[in-house]
Amino acid sequence: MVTEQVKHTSNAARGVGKVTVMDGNKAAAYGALLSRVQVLAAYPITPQTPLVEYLSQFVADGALKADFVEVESEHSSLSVLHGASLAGARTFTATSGQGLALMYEPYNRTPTIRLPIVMGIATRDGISPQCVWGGHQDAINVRDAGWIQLFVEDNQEILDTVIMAYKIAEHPDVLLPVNVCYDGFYLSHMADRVEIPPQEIVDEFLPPYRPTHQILDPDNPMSIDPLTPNELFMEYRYKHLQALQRAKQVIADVDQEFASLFGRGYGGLIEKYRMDDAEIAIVGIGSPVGTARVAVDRARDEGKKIGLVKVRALRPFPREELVEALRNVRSVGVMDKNVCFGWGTGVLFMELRSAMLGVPKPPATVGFIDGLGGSDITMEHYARAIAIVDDSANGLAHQEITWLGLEEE
Amino acid sequence: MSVASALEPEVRAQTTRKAQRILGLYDKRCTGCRSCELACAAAKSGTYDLSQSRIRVVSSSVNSFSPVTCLQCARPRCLEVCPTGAIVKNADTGIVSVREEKCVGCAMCALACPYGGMHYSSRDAKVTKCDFCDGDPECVKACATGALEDVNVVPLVDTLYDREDLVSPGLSACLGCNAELLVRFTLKTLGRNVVFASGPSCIAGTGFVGYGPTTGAKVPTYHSLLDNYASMITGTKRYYDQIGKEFHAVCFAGDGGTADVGFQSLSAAAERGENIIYICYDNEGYMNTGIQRSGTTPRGAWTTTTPVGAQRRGKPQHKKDVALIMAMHDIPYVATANAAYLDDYYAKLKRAMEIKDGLSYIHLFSPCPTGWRFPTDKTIEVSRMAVETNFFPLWEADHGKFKINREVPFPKPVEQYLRLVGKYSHLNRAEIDEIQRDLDRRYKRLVALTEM
Amino acid sequence: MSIKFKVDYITPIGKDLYVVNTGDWRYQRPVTNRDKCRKCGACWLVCPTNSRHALATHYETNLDFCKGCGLCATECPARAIRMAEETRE
Repeated sequence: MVTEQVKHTSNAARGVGKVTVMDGNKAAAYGALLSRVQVLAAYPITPQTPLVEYLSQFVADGALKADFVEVESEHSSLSVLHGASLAGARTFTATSGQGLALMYEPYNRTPTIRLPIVMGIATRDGISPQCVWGGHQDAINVRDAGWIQLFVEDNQEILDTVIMAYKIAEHPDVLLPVNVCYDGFYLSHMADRVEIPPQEIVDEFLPPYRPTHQILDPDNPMSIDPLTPNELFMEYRYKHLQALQRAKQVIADVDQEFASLFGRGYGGLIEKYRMDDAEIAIVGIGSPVGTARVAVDRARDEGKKIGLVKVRALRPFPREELVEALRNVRSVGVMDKNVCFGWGTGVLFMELRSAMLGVPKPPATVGFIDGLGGSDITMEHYARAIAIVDDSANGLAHQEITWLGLEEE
Repeated sequence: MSVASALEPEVRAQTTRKAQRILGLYDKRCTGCRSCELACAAAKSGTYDLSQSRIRVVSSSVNSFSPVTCLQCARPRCLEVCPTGAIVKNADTGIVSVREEKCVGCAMCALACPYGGMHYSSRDAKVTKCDFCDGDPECVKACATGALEDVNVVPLVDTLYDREDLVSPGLSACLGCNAELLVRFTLKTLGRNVVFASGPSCIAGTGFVGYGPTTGAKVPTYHSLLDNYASMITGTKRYYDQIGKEFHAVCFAGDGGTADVGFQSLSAAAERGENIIYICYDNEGYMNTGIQRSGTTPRGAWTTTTPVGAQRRGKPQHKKDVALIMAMHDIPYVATANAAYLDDYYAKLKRAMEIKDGLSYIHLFSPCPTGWRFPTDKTIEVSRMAVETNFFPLWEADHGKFKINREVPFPKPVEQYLRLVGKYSHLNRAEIDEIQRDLDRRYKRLVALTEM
Repeated sequence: MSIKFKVDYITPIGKDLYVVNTGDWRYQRPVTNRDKCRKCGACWLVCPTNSRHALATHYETNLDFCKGCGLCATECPARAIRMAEETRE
């Protein structure tokens, strides 16, 4: 299921598009545009607001033939999409931070009634303390609501992942909603090189959505989400969980197909970078992975046998893929831009540890918490992290969790 | 040939569903004023000789009166015993009448009638009886209390009788549930071409949205969230509009989902001009969860969260007037309705179905026997009294033009309404007077709007 | 682990009609006086369970789902319906 890095491969693919520069919100808007979404509903919230503006402009210009519903809240934005998706529409919204918190009620209901809605999250830290800046806490806090959650590293990946997200969400083996999580400000507001794939090839990749599992239609009356008795409730939960597990194969397959058409792939559930002979590794998620690549390159230049694993899918969690990717390393450092309340760690750290349970001779795991509330994860922080992972690999004393930004000089 | 067999073809000629107008006799509203007798005598004999009246008010005990007249029986005994064939029953109208030229004045019919419907006129030596004044009964016009009513549900029954009930025959609603009545009536009127949003509320709780792999409705129904009826149905409506599929997007929500937690999404959908029909059935509280107060619980009402005790006596705050608030959104159509006046509700629902330029909002008064503490057979009586006291006036605002659809020339004191409903049983004189003052003030405001 | 599913659906939907035998709840039943019934249809309109129906001569109650609330009897303008205590065979 794991594919080696095929990012920015040859231009031999048919789906070569126009290269331009845009911020992450615009890349997400282009993803929705190219996916020919039919009903949009969104509410402005920092740092996702420009996305709402871009989409409104697309509709105003006639570039996007869709209904844009200017709702009064995030609760309603997702609710509007529920009604549209139940009628058979392809739908898109995006939110952030408190918007996601307000959306919690319909958010939980989206996967349980199996609506293939795609929603961007311009990730933002949780409040309080009051702040508008980046962090992964908003998306992380809802990781167990039953959505597919894909985290991306750069703006190109935002655009490409939105398109892939529809193909994954609408796959008959899956039929689940997908979050495309991109770092607030670090990606949402930073301009970057982005290639816009040609519409006709996207159309070839992504056929229209035709629901077969349920419909709100006077010509085919049924009740959606009746009161469900205990045993049947268990059955639907079981089917939902199975679909989420099946999504792992679909995410990998869709990534392969995307790569073959457009010349860019992202490895599916995880991406391995310089892992072939690695003895230690960094595991990261989201935009900090970009910095980690450079940090790993520098450490390699210094002779360290180090690699990097980027987690793209937080849900479903790539358990087997991570075990396989890390089976030959002695120590792993996990970079979390979030916290796991009650464990005193980050969430990715906890989950990687759980994945390693029962694995013969698992690598040592050390955790790093950084980048909260919009703070920078600098090259120096990575160098410090790599040093701690090195200590751990060599059996030297080290702390389990290090708050990189808070350490004394 | 017996009289009975001669009658049968005529009776048989009536189709199975042919409804007929009827003079409604409501004992409890009769005050014994005998205005009806005067009106009848004047109309039929040109005198105020009460012996010429074909309707009589009888008193069975002190302060208990019954208007008595011909019931226009389905199988009239009078007709069966008449030796000259002077009595006939019209197959279309159901009216039983005496052919004067054939009547010999034997009064056999008066003896046979168990209901006091035949009157022997010694002046003419003939029998007379109520003939419904050719469809415009004078007694009804004279009755100020509603004890006599020209019950004319014929057009409504004829229109709706053959329509399929689009709701399961067995819903687990309480006995006498007004909401069950209203949801069946609403769907009969709307027909099959709808998508229904029915979120957590009494109606969803009755099984309307189904249980397990079943549904209680024969139309597409979404068990929406308590607070997203209006936004959810917006999505459905927008997409179908986009692909050119015509249907009615309908929300059928309780007062909690409308006035309280769902108000934000409703207000926003109204402001955006979404073309949906939003119906709130207002049973003035969270009845499905055990009778808790809501924003539409009226002042003074007992609920389980506004109990009556030494320190507090029911809900201290006013009822939120959601219909008026919705009208202030300047949406194309707002109306109030009530199950005691189903013809009025029918007309309003049909109007809402015509509206294409925005949201229609209908606020249904929905008395709840279980939560309001009144007998299960009194749902309609309570509904009617709410209108007759101006507690719940029937009005509409069509594109900003306000109209009171059922003017009440002599509104009854609100006490008569409050005394019907157990949740007000603790109210004292001062509290009732306070409610009356509130009601008068609100009604004045409504009248002022109609005069704009 | 082998799993036995109750339904083919992957998502909670309902298609078969949900029916509660509400006729079992009844402690009183409406009894119609055929002579007095004028077939005005008022009982049919106000019946919450849609249990009244028109015969050639009068309106009658379908007792399958009638809960015995008494609304038809109270609202009958012809006083043709009375409520009688329910008896079980």
